[in-house]
This record gives sequence, structure tokens and C-alpha cells, in this order.
Amino acid sequence: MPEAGGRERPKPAWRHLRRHRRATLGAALLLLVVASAAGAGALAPRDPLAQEVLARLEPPGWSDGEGWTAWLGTDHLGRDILSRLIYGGRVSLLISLVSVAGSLGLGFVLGLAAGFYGGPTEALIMRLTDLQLAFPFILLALAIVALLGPSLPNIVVVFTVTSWPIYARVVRASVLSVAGLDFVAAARALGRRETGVLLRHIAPNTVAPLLVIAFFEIARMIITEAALGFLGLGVQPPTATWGNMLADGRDYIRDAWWLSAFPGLAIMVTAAGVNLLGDGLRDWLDPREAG
Amino acid sequence: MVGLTRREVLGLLSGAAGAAALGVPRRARAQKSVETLKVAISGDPGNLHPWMLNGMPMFSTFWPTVYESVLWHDEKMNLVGNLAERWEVTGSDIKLHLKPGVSYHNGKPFEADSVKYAVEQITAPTSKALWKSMIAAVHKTTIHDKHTITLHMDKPFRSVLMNLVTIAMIEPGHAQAAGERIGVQPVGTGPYKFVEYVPGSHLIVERHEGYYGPKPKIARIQFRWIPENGTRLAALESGEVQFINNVPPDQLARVEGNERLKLLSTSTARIIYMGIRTDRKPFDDKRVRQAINFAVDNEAIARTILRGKAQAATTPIAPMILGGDAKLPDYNYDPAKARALLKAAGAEGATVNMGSSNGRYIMDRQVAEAVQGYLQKVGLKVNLETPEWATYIGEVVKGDKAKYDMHLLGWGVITMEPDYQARDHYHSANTKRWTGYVNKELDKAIDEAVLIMDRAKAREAYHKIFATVWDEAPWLFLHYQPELIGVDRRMTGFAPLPDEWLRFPTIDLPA
Amino acid sequence: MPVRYIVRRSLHSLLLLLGVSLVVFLLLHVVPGDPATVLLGEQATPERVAEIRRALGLDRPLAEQYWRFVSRAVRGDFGQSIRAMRPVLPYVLERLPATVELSVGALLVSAGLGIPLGVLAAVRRRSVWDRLSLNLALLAQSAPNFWVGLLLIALFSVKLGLLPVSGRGGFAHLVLPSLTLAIFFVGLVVRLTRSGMLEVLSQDYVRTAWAKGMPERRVVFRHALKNALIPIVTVLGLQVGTLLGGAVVTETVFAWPGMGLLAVQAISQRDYPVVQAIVLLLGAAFVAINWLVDVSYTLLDPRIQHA
Repeated sequence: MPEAGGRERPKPAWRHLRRHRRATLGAALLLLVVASAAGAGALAPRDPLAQEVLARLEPPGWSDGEGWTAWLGTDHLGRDILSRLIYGGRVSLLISLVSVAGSLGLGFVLGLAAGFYGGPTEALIMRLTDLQLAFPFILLALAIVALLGPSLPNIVVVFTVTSWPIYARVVRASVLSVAGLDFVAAARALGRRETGVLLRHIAPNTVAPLLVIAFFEIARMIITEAALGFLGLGVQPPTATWGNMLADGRDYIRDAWWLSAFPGLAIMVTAAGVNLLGDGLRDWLDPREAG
Repeated sequence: MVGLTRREVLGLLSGAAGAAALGVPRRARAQKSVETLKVAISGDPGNLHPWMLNGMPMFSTFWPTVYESVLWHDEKMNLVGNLAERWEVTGSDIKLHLKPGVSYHNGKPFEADSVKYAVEQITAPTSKALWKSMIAAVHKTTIHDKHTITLHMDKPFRSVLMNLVTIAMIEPGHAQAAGERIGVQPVGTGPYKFVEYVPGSHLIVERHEGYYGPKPKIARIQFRWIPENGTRLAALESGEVQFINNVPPDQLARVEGNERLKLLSTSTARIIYMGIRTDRKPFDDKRVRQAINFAVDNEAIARTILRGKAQAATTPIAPMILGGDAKLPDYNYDPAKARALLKAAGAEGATVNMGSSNGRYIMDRQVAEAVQGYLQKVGLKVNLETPEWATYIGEVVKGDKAKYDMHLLGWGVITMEPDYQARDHYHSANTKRWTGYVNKELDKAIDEAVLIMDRAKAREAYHKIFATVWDEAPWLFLHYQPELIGVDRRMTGFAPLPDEWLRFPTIDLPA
Repeated sequence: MPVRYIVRRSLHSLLLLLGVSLVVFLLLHVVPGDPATVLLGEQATPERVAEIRRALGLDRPLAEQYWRFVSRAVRGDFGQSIRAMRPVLPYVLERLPATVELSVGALLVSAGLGIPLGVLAAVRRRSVWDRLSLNLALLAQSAPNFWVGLLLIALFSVKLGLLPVSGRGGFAHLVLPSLTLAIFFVGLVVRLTRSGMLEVLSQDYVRTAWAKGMPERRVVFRHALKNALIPIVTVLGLQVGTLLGGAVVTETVFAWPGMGLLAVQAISQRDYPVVQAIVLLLGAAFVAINWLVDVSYTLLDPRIQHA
């Protein structure tokens, strides 16, 4: 954690990135994934939902002789895996990013309130985090999905509702450590308004650890979305998500391996990229642990 | 000799005599069978109560090893006697003549009071029995003597006779003492008796030495639950188990191409279909429903997704059922005709809210996705949902308030009795929760047909009923579900049958 | 005064448990699908569903049902499983050993693989070992573990025939499931160990020990590792939730008869009493651990005042 007052100024980000290959690699991987997700319309050779029941389970490189080559093969309904992979990345990334943003926002506000106001507010919020953490994720996921329906926004709700506690706790701890510091007491003594103090001095100091956690959470959510799809609780077919594709391919691991291999690798690559970038971010903020 | 019938004693003596005559020691003639047969099933029953179960993997696995009913099916699906040697139907009475000399696993004799007990328990107003509707029409029983009992109904329901196959006999004394714990302490009359059940893990049964009929060759059977398809198949391939059910259609080659294994399959009496709510626009128009049937290439689905192991539906009910063998006009794949019909009905580009289960029937979700694809090809807009089972079935049975315009289900006529499907799905008293289909004349026909005991006449009546249903198309008719079993190649004495009951006691597997 | 704090904390814990029981009860009853319909399946007619709901006591007002649930739960009576028709508590607890076995196996694998690798990486910083450990850890934390589990079965059980495919049994049966569950945590432990060790190794007292000529081994194991372990244990404690969640998926893949699989099955069958019991038991364990931690902090250092 950065120490009060005499904190080392972090190097400019781009310089740090350039000198640290792992973080650069992470950024590059992530850029690749995000770019292909954004440019899905242009990149994907086919409609990810277009079925060709007579062309099911064709291996990578198969061609129908009429201009369509399934570079990554076709799935059990004859849909182009490459196209589904690209569009699926879009959905999986969207879910993770929006969920992290949502849970971070919610956790930030609640953690800030808990740390700053203390007393019964803090008690209530902390007990809420306990309640949330004590409740098994699968049950909540199933309940929310069963209740609201298995659509993309609802999956985001599931993740947001179950993930905010970690941010709240970190923010609160951060607030507690900073709020007792000299410069904050000084600001208060000078008569600055409470909320002003909160926003200008305390809040910025909590951001750093939050961002690091947020990055790792993105990775975790990509994998958890896959697990939900595996258990049948994710976004509905025929929408392609990496989790859905993995679930679709689970029976075919030994024969039509391409159904699950590519989404599995995509998840790994994306999560690894996010983790690397998260590492880089943390190293930038606290160089002692750099590798 | 105590406990053996005269026939068995004779058999023993002649066998021994024959062996002595040949000078061959008896033991050398019998080939040694494997001690324990290891079976992996896709679903855990959770509860071994034979009157309470539901779901294909659940009742059809261990049920016929431990329990028996008064009547049964032979390999041709004819109704034959089991614990009842013979029966007579007089008016609306069924008289059962029970087999003497049968005893339960706990030694108590099987007699008419068992049948009475079963009937009364199942039909009681507070009964939680799943099969209550099967024999609900029986309002009284009369015991004539230890081995004769008559079931009294209001009217001569042929269906009740056929439905008796589903009523397992439980020893009354034990049932009363155990109450609901029967679910963990089964006592029946079957060739195997219960040893141990660890929910979620395994179930073990062992040969009942006091069984009145032919004794199974295999001393013990161990059932395990492996819900994950890949894992279950792997268990068979590695030799950890010698029998699995629900081989996924896309992995059939792993069994057929493996020289240690073989695939056993049959078409079952379970039809996979999509019910269409006929009480909503535009599905209230017969042309739209027929268009749906023309738009979907169920033959291609059966050939590709079900790998040719399923038969595309040619009648509303599986052909081996009474009345299911009518020759009906084909709903061949004709997207042009579908479009024309939709246009004529003014339903072009209509929206369809479709629902399907996910994993309850073989390839159910994939079939639904394929149907969605076909309907989209003729211009319909299809929203498909495949929630988990409890949510799905809960939504479907909301009936006219259900959000699905079309829902995928399977209906297994395990009793081989057409009324089971006709009444539940086409009689307006019951269609509210499925398709909302109302046809008063059809109702009358169904009500009359169930009272016809003569099979030839009944067949004609059902031909007419199913022809009407086929034409009216309250369903998208898909296919009859296959039963796909993977076993050790050396296994003999087993064949999957259309009523979905797996008959383990006749299996032999050399050690 | 610690006593006042402990009392207050205990009250909070009880309220928390009550909150958990209320939330799970409401969720179950509000979510679509009910046990009677699931029990009857395709045979569900409105009349039969109503009959069975009555028999199960599900037609009583919600408040009454909740009161019955809570008042019996405090006495250890969690009712009867709707599906299995036997008392819930023994039915659930019977699955506990399997889950514990799996979790302990996973923790042992994580520690057994992760700590040595992490120490190696820290001590040989910037060497090829460091790179390798970090990269492996990264991949481990990025992989969807059920996919890896299925791959492991395909390789070790079917292709090589070395290990059993599924189910619980002897040691051999535990290998693949523990490995699968541990994947994410191995990566986590490697990184935590490494960073913890690096932190401690850079401390003055360690440098002093080195300068004084103490052999590297002693420095590393005696001093550094012990201190580095504290944050590892803390973080792993927080990850218990993830462990249990991962256990559900692992138990599904390997047909491991643990509580995770039971929970998923009970949820999908809407077996209310079983779900309620599992959630309450897990919640109680979680609350108890938290209580223990908070109270021991206070007893150890009365200056710390938590809300």
C-alpha cells in the first residue's frame, strides 16, 4: 500500500509499459480481443446464428465448396465456430465489463459511506457484505435467473449483486486508513466541507487498489460466465457466448474437440491478458513486487 | 424341497440325472458370470419409492430388478401376466388370479391383500402417488381368496387394465411400518433384493435366492449416477462400468467403433413434440400449425442431430401403440408450402415464443434450436428459451398464461395404452395446460374409445382419433425418442424395449 | 470493553443468520417452479399439484411457513426432503465428508504445489524458474477449471487408463477431482507466496541475517516463509466461497457425491427443505468463522474496534 505523505511517484504509464514486457503482452492480447469483439460485424465471415444442420460437426478448415470455409470448424448445428467465437467474445466481454463497472460502482459508494460515516451506517453496510458473502453464489444465480429470466442484462445483475462486497470492503479499509491522516485532519480543521474532503482527498486514494482488483475481477467474471453457461444458467441459446460454446462442446471434447477448444483457449487468453495487465497496474503502483 | 416349485425340483433332478449320465460334473457346464454388474445411469432417483418416481432414468432402472407388478409386457409389448397368472375382464370388473408360492424379500407371502393395499394407498384422496391417475377409476376391491382379487370400476376402462403394469407390489406390513422410508428400504418380490443406497453415489442390489422364477445369472448389480455425458461414456470406455444408458447421439461412434463395446438401441413409445397453444393468434388457425409442420424437416433432424437412431414421427403416437399404426398424409419438408399456408392465414413474419427443456430429453435443446432455425427460414421470428427444468415445466403448465406459444416435451406411453396420450393431450378436459385444444367431437370419441375392450375395434377407433389429431396439428410432430444403451460386447440377455423399462435380471456377462 | 463488543458481535451474527434464513426462504418461494410441479413433471395437473402442495404444507401463508421453518431449525429439525422423503439434516450431513475430502484435497494440492513454486520463484527472482512459475500461475488462474477437468479425464482416465473416471472411492479417485478444483488456487498460492516472500526477504532483519552469514535455507524457511504465510492464509480464507463454488462444478464433472452436487440438484428440484438447510449450514459456518476471527482480533488487540 502506498504510504502517506512520502509516496513514490509512479513512473509515467507508457514508459513503465514499454519496459515491462509482461504487462505489454497483456495489453496486446486484450487489445486483440477487444478489437475483434468491436469489429465483429466486419471480421466474422458468417452470421453466428446461421444453422446448416447438414454441415454439423465439420472439422476446422472444412469448406462447403461455395465460398464458405469454416476455419475453426462448425458446431453441432452447423454454425461457424469462428464467427460465434468473435461474436461470443463481444457478449462475454460486455457481461464482464458491465458487471465489474456495476459492482465496482455499487461497492465503491457503499464502502465509501461505510468508512466515512461510521456508526450504524457502517454496521449495516458491513453486515450486508457479510450476508452477501455468506450466500452461495450458485443459488443466487439460479434464483435471479429463474426469477427474471435468462437474458444478458439479468446475468449482469447476477454478477453485480454478488460481486460488490469485495470492493466495499477494500474501499472502507482504504478510507479508514486515509481518513486518520494528517492532511485530511488539516483539511477538516481548515473548515472544508465533509463531502469535499471525502471526494477530493479520500476517494482518489482508494482508487488504486480498486482498479487492480477490478482487473482481476474481470478475469474471474469471464470464467464464471463460462461456468454459469456450463450449468445451464447463462445467456440463452442461440446467442453465442464463450460459456455457451464451452457448454455445447463438453460432450465432444474427444471427437469434435474444436467446439470447446477454441472458446476455452479464448477464455484463457483473455483472462491471462487481463491478469497480466492487472499485474502491470499493480507493479506500477507498487514496484516492490515487480517480476 | 422347501421353496421350490414342482417344476424346479423336476428340473434339478433331470439336470443332475443328465449330467450324471454324461459323466460330466455339473459345474463345468455352467459358464461363470461376472460377480457384479456395474451400471452407470444418467439420473439419480433420489428416492426408491416405486409409486412416487418420475423421469425416464429414474423409474426404469432399478424398479424392474427389485419390484414387480401384477401384469407386465413381453418383448413384443403384449400385456402378459406377471404376479398375476391370468386375468378376466367382466363388464367393468377386472379379476386377477395371482401366482401362488411367491414371497417378498422379507419372507412374507405375496397375496391378494398386497394388491388391495397398493390400490387403496395409491387412490386415497391424500395420496402423493405419482401414478394415482393411472388407476383412480378403481373404487373398490374384493378379495375372494388368498390369490384372487377383483378390481371394481364404474365403467370398463381398458386403460386401467393396461396401467396395472405401473403399480409395483410392496409388502403391506413393511410398507406400513416403514411409511415413507420405503424410499430407502425397498421390499418387493423381484429377482434382486435391495442391499444399499447412498444417494448421489450408488445403489446395490443382490440376487434374491428365494425368487420364484428363473434366477439371474449375475449375483450383484451396482448402479452409479454419472450425470455428465462425457464422464459416463468415459466410464464405459475405460471398463469401469459395463452398462450405460443415454449414450449421446454424437458419441455413438465411440461405442460402435470400439471393439470391446456394442450399442443396443430401439425406438421407444416416447414421442418428442412441440405443443402449440391453439388458443392464441395466429396459432388458432389450423393452416398456421400445419405450416409449422411443413416448415420443419423432422427427418433431417432425426438423421443428423439424432444420428439416424430416431424415427421421424409419422403419427401422433408411437407406432407400436394400439392405434398408432395408421397411414397418414406426410408432413414432408416443404418450406414453400409452409410459406403459402402462412400467407393464406395472414401470419407471415409472426413472432413465436418458444420454450424447450435442456437435458431432459435426448438432444432436446439442440432439436429446439434446429426447429427455431427452420421456422426462421420461412420468415417467422422465433424467441427461444431453454431454462432449467423446474422453471420450464412450471411455466408450461401455466396453460393459457404460459409465455411459450410452442413448448418442447416428450410423452412416453410406458403403458402401451393410447388413452394415456389421447386423454391427457387431446381431450379438452386436460388440454388447457398444454395446447388449449378444444374439439368436442374428439372428446366424445376419446371417451368412447377407452371403453372398448376388444383390441381390433379399439384400434379402428384410435385410427380415427389420431387421424383427426394429425390433421388438426395441435403439435409440431418431431420424432420418437430412441433408447441408446452402451454395453460390454460380451453381454447377452438384454435388449432395450419401447416401454423404457430396463430389464436387468436376464443379463449375463461372462467373467 | 471486550465483553460488550463480543456480545454485540454475537447478536450481529445471529441477526445475520436470521437474515440468511429469510433471504433463502423468500427466494425459494418467489422463484418460479415449485416442488409439487417438479415431482409430478409431465403428469402435473392443477388438481394434483394442489393436492401435493397441501400435503407438503405449501399452501399455508408464507409467514406461517417461515415461522415453522425457523422454529424447527433452531432445534436442529430441518424437516423432510421432498424428493428423498427422509429427514433433511442427516441427509445433508451425509454428503459433508465428500465435500470436505475434496476441499482438503484441493487445498493440499494448492499448498503442496503452490508454496514450493512460489518460494522458488521468489528466491530465484528473475530467473527462468521465476518466469516459469509466474506463467504457469497465470495460466492456472485463467483457465476454466471444468474444461480442464474434462480434458484430464480424457487424458488420464480414458486414453492412459491410469486413474478412475469418476465417483468417490480410494485415493486414486481423489486425484483428478482435487487437481481440477485446485487449478485456480495453485496459481493464486504461487503468486501470493512469491509476493509474500519477496516482501519479507526485502526486510532489514532478513538482510541482516544474510549479511551475518546465515545459510540461505534457514533464512528462507525459518523466517521468511513463516511470515509470508499469514497473508496467504488470510486470502485463502476469503476464497472459501470460490472454493465451494468451484466444488459445485467439479462435483458435477466427476459425479462426486458432495454437498455442492446435492445443492444444485435440490435447487433444480425445488427441494425447499434441503436447499434451506444447506444454505443455513454454510451461512452458519461462514458466520461462525467470521465471529471467531473478529473476536480473537479484539481479544488479541483491544485497541481495534470494528463496527
